[in-house]
Amino acid sequence: MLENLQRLIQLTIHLIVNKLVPLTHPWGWAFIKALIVVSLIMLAVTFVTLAERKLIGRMQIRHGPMRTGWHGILQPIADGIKLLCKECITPAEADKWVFLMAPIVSIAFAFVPLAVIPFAKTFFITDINIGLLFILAVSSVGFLGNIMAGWSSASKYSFLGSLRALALMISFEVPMVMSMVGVVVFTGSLSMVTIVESQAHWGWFILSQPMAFVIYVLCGIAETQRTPFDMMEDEGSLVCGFFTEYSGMRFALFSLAEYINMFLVAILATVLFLGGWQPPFVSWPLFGFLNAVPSVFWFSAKLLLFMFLYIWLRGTLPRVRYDQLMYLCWKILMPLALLNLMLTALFLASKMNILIFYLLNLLVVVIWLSIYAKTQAWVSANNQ
Amino acid sequence: MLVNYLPIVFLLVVGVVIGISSQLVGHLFVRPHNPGVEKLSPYECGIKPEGSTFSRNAISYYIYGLLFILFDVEGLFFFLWAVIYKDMMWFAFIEITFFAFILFLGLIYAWLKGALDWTTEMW
Repeated sequence: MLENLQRLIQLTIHLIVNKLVPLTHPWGWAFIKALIVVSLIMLAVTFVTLAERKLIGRMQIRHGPMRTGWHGILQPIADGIKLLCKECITPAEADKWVFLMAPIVSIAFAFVPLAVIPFAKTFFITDINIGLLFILAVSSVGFLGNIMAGWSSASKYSFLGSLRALALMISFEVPMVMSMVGVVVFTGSLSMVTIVESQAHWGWFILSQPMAFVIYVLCGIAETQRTPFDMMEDEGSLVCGFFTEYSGMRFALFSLAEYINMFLVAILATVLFLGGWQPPFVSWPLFGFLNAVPSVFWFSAKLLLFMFLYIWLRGTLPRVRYDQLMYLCWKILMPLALLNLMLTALFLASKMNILIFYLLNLLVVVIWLSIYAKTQAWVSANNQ
Repeated sequence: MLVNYLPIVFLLVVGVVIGISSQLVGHLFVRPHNPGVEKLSPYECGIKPEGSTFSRNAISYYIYGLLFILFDVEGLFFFLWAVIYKDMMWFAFIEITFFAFILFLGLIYAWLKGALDWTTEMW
């Protein structure tokens, strides 16, 4: 008996050491890291939905969910179970396979960009030298899920919603890309790890690229279709945008993808402009003790601050009209992003003082906005 | 290094598995399935659906799509320029000023043509 037990233990150890060793191989380790990241992001998403409901409740002077668990802490789990048990309706006229594929495409490509993000000093799934470009490319594939959903539902609200969302997303992609280039000019590299590390030398890029940061935040909110700019699920005019016809778990997949995209925008803002996993005041010797805090703490603190900004804006601002939003994108943000790029190049080439650079930034914004106001006044005068 | 790209496939697989399995679990075990004519008709606020789904739409969506392709591809050139900018400085600055100026002219042209305005009358 004892001998058998001993043999069993020996066999188990043999199995673990000899058969599971591939897990210590870089690929096995990367796979485990991928699983860790995905599960943590899912956990974060569930509780951010709860935080959003609680915070918006507080902003509207009510309590938010209170019944499930202590102060509604189990609400996301209850919601998940409810959605799992609901009937999934496929409309009679729908293109069935495209209809089924759409949420899967959405969710799959929402996860992929997380592969190149440095979450902490040594924790990233992989580091590729075109990281930023890769993220831009892959996160655009996620839009495909939206079009598939909107087109295949064969419902007018879905179709219109997907058209609107798509036109908006691709429009805001342009100034967003241009604002990111401003950061790349400083780092000279597209690898996310290098971008974070170079901010120890340059300081956080929000300080040297304030205009690009503002443009990025506006575009990020529009890309993820959050409330001041949420044209795709404009409840007043479109019922729920492109996922009007989706119910149950498929609907849950879409909203999961949407929240992961929100996280992605927040993560990119953290990595590009807010110093990634670096503690604040990193170059001052007085604050050296901040390095003792694990770097993942700083990363998640900045990330959650940005998520709070999202929720705050949703609780505060009314929705913008569609054409005004398009004007904001093409007539204000796009030229300003171009001009910001020129100014940044000039700043680096001429080694001018940072204060003069700020002044030039301010000047450019003021001049462009006054030109824009003039043209709008001229257009409305001509129309009458 | 091509090997660095492999973990991306892992994440893609994880995403697809989550997408399929969460639908499959509900389909096989828990969720009800009793369709009806009313339930399967497209949602139009409770009244009977009227006309075809794919009716005429504002052309502006497609115009924005065209503009996007133009400007996004040119945005890609900016990335290439940005990566080598610090090695070339003034030369690269002058080059990109020309490039951005032409891009800007394109934007102004589209603007003057009214491609950026949200009207249904122009076309």
